[in-house]
Amino acid sequence: MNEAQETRFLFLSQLLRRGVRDSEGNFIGRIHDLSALVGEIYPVIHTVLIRCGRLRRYFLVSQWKDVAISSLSDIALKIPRSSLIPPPIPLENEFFLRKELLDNQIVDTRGRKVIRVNDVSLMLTNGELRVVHVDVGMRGFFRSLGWGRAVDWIVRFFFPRARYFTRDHFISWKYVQPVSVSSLKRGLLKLSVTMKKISRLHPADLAEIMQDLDTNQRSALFQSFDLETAAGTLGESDPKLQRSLLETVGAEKAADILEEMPRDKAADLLADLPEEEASEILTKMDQKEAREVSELLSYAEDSAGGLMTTEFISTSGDILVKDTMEKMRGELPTAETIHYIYVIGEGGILRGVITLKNLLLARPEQRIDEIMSEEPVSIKAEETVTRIIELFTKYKLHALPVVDAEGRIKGIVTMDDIVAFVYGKKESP
Amino acid sequence: MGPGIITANVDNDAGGITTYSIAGARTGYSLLWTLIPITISLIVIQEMTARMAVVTGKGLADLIRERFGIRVTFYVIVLILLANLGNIFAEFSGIRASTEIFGISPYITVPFAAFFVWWLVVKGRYKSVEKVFMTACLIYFSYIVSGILARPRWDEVASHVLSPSLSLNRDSLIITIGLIGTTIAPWMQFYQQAATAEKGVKLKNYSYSQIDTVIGGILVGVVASFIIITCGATLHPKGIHISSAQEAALALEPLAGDYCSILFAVGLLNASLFAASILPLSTAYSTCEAFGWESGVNKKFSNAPTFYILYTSLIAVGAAGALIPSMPLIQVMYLSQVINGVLLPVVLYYMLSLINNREIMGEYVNSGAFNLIVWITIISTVILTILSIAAPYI
Repeated sequence: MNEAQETRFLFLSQLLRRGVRDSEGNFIGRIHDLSALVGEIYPVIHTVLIRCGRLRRYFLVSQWKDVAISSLSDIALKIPRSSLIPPPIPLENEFFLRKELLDNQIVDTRGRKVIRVNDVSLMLTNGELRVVHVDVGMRGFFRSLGWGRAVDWIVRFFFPRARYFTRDHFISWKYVQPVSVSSLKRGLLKLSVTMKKISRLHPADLAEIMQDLDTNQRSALFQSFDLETAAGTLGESDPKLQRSLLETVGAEKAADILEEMPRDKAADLLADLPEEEASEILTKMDQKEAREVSELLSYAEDSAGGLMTTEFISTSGDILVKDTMEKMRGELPTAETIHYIYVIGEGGILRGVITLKNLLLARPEQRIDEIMSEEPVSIKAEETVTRIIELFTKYKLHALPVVDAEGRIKGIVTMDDIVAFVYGKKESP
Repeated sequence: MGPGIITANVDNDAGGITTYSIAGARTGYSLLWTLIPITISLIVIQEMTARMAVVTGKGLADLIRERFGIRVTFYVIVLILLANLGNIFAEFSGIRASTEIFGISPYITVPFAAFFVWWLVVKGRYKSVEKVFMTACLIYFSYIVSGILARPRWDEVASHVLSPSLSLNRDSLIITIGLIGTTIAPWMQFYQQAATAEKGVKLKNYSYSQIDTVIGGILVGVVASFIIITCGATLHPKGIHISSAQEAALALEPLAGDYCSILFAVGLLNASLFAASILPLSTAYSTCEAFGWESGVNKKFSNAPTFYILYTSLIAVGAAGALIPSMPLIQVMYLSQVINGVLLPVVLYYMLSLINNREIMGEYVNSGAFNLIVWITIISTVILTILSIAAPYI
């Protein structure tokens, strides 16, 4: 039995539709599908689904360990037909290669794009069959079509050294994230395989991948994200996609996701939603955040108020530099910019500003109002983008405090926000 | 609003207008009634595609690929490509014919139209393209106006519609086949489903899609009826035989006046342009989606080369074909109708199998009545296709 020791590669297309005989040599049917178990790096083939009957079709299932595969044309079982069973309920971590992988879309997490699977490459070692690659190339395409050899021959005849042969478009299973939606029953969308591999991608890539998926895959995938990933992806998506994604999760979870996002982005997002949906999400949000977000919502989109964020670092004049630095550490994670620390007096009146540089240069025992620059440049919430850009260029700032009529600080507009706004305006009509 | 109405209007394309004109001229009002069952069947089929799009979020090509595998998909798509290439050729011939009526050289208008269509889709924004198309839909009313200008005897029209009869002579049989073939075509299912899925219509808004589909279907029926009525009222009594929409427009001039003829020609130009901009795009989309190649006009050429090459060559080949002087339009249209006729039952069969699958459609599977109507359509198309292939030898 040196057969069992040898490692061989097979393609799913070579196994499907093959005839199967039982241990007594009787023809049973043809291979319809293979199921594999996820969990290990390379999923192990678990069962074989055999299609039987000519007119009245029915299916029988054999464990892969009962299959003896000596040559491709001859697939025999080690057990008699009578020990085969009808298809059982699939295991939690079981998925079907033909139904859920072959011809379906996957996310290539290394190439960061959505592609369709043309064939699946399997490795046979010690009697165990494992999924190792998916084939997304033209050669796999023709192989699955049943024209593999013919096309190989033609290409070889004309171009013996064609890249067609050497440049196999295989994606290692390590980078394959199946996104097939397993069932629509009870309105519940579930991915057939967990999506661990995908959450490591950058939110911008995730947003792009979302765009290429169909609506059901999209919502199943989005629902499976944790809050942080969901918020990141949402932040990188365009308004139309944002809306369709938020609608898939329901108000409760939408509120949780929005709380993870910067306030200004959350407000922009809500502004694009129908009023009814937006207010429903707002009521589900944490009260303080909801209040801030709805205040942002009340400003015109292209005004300083509409562009600002409420997450900035502030301090008061009467405390020491070292205490301010201590306080900053706590606020850093949510702050939009750390270049400026705004000094606030009674009732939230903006009194001054310190740059990070000056703060670091100051002695720890100095009081804040000794080192701050008084009467900082600021802008009224109603003023427009044009005015903000004027101030940015004139004073070479990275961020501007936004104040109300009484001079109380409301938030800040950053250079990033302005660039995104102006650029975004050019991009979409 | 959208995909259903746009699909319906592309349906009344150059090939459709030609067939309806010939039907009116040769058989008068006697085949008008067939448009009623055809319209019902069209609405049922298009509603199914919209429903599948909303429930699954996928195009028809995607669903067929995922459910029936690569082999089935490949042959269906190859046939779709051939049939649609024939249709695209017919559209550019329609552009040629209608501009020739106004005395402009086709060597100017056809390349210009081809470039315009290409540019509109590749360089335009989707929103504005859609707006252009929706506005163009209004021009179809020119056919209703020309129908009224032709002053038909409405009592005769009514009596023909109310008492249907099918004479089994060769002429009306072939024309009936043509009517079904141009009205219910496989590209429509692929286009409407992809367009609806692309729009991302939600299940709760599905009734709008249904209304959209029904209005679209009725529009097809009404426009088709008025073209038949126009030609039936004017050309048929005089025994004028025509073999193209262009001849119809020219023949209308002395009988129904300048306006009627001009409106007819404008309608033909609009319909051809409209369909010429949708068909190549839809064909390229479904092909690339089924085979997993990147597609979309928002992608760069380097990211979706196959899509752009396919899209551009469909337009180029169609337009070039229309400029070949001895190209037999009627024969090419006949051939593409035969391919359509072979393809339609196949596509409908797969659609039925998909839409009745609870794993895919959940509770939104087809009702019994819908299945019955589709089966009747499948069987009649098979019979009529066999007859139409056999017809030249009878």
